Amino acid sequence: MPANLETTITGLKLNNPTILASGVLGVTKASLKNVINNGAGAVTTKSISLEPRSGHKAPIIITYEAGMLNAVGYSNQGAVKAAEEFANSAEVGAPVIGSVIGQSVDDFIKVISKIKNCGFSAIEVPLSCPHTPGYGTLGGQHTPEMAKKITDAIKKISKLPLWIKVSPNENMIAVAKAAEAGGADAIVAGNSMGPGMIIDIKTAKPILGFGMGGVSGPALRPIAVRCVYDLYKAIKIPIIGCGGITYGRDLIEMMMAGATAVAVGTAVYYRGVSVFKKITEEAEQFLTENNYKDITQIIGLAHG
Amino acid sequence: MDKITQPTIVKITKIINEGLNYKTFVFNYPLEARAGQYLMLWLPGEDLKPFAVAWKTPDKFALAVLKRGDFTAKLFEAHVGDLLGFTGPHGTYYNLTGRKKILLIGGGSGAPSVTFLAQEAGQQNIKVDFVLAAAAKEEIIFESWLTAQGVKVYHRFQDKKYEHAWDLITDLINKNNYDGLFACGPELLLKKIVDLSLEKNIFCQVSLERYIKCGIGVCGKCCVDNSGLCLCQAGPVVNNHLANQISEFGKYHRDGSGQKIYFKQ
Repeated sequence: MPANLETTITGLKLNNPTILASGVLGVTKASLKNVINNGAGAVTTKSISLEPRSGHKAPIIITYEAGMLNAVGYSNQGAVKAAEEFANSAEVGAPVIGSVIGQSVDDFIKVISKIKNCGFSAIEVPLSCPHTPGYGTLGGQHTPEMAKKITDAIKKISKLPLWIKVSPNENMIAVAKAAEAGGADAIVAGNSMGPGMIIDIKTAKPILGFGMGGVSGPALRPIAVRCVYDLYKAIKIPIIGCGGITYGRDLIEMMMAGATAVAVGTAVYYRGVSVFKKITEEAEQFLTENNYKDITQIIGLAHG
Repeated sequence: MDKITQPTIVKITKIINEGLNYKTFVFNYPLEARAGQYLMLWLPGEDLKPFAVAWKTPDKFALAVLKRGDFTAKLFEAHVGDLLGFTGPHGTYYNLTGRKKILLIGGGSGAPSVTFLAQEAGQQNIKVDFVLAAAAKEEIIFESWLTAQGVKVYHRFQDKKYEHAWDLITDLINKNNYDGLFACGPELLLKKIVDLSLEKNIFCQVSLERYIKCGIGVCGKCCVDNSGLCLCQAGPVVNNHLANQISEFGKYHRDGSGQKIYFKQ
């Protein structure tokens, strides 16, 4: 009898714990549906801002021996067009999480009110992007004060589960605790780390269009696992583990650290969009071989 | 993880003025690429954009560039000896297997994708007719280069009876038994070609242009409706049946922010 992979997070029942991380694919509803058809248990939209944004100049993504650097710069259609694009999101076949960004508390409220009828199952708010001026870490949002303020304000106007995405860099536990106190329903741990930089030595120029970018992929994985491990002890709300998950063993490891579900992004590069199906099958095989009946049995198992 | 995507640096060895707003940049580099594939070309410190390979020899390759925006304007200021970078080749390529007599159609910034195919077909002794679709006579490029490849070149400025490139194309298709149509150019023209190929049951591949930003199937800017496929990898070259399944084909594409831009009929 194969192990049961279903997991429930903030009231959302997922067929399996893999969620498409925000920023990878997810620009259109069709793209989200394609990711679900390739095995994701849930999907997150590309982050939605109040006004349209074309993002940073390219290269926006480069990879190196240990992972990926990205500085996409939150390119998106803006809240009005996004509301049209993602209308009737409930019909794509799995929960869709709307990722919302803003430069001020007011921005978050305005965006959420514009997309409220899209049928999103939850709202994710990244306070932690390391490479876009005015937003996340560079916008001064990754502090306990801002986390509390933004969470409070969103919870007052939206009944949807609210997920706050934190940075693995610093302040992580304090920001997560403040979000929890503000009423956040889950913590996503976490964003890319850094930023980092790679310089082309023949032209003596940083390669990324923005110069620097968030570091993700295998290099981030042990850091993300430790973040989830620490958070599991510090907060009571559930955790979505995110950072470098590429294989089924990585998913198992992240859940043993304390994650209830996991987000997958960079691995789409390494293993294609069917990576969700691959990770899920590998995890299922491990669980079955090791006599776990239910994937939820392993949540926090590393804490003894 | 051995998959590394960072630019390879190459020196411009030659720049050829092809005509109005068109330049060919030649690089001494033994590129492994097939006709239809594209490179992401890096202007260090500026930006990165996709360009189809225009032709290649064992130790050289060329990109033919139409000046159409900020990036190409900057590229046009480059000199022989300047360093540029590229990643790739990326994407799908044209398939000539089993073809004997083919019609190629190239227009605007899409022409270089099919010039490389003319070169590949010539090496395989396939008979090639080539329509250069252009709005003005000054925009006709590569005519002598194509003729030198043994290709028969057509454009509507040779014969006053054709008001539009499409009239010339349909005339050629009706008069000849082509067993393959290959095209890259304005999407509304590609749509007509695909429709005609399906009606006449002729093997057909077209190269579609979408907003390609990362080139590696991650950023999602080039996803098409309704399949959600990334055309940076599932394309740019698609066969007529796949093109016909793309619901936005011939209707709209998306800009850098993801907003729809409708093609003007």
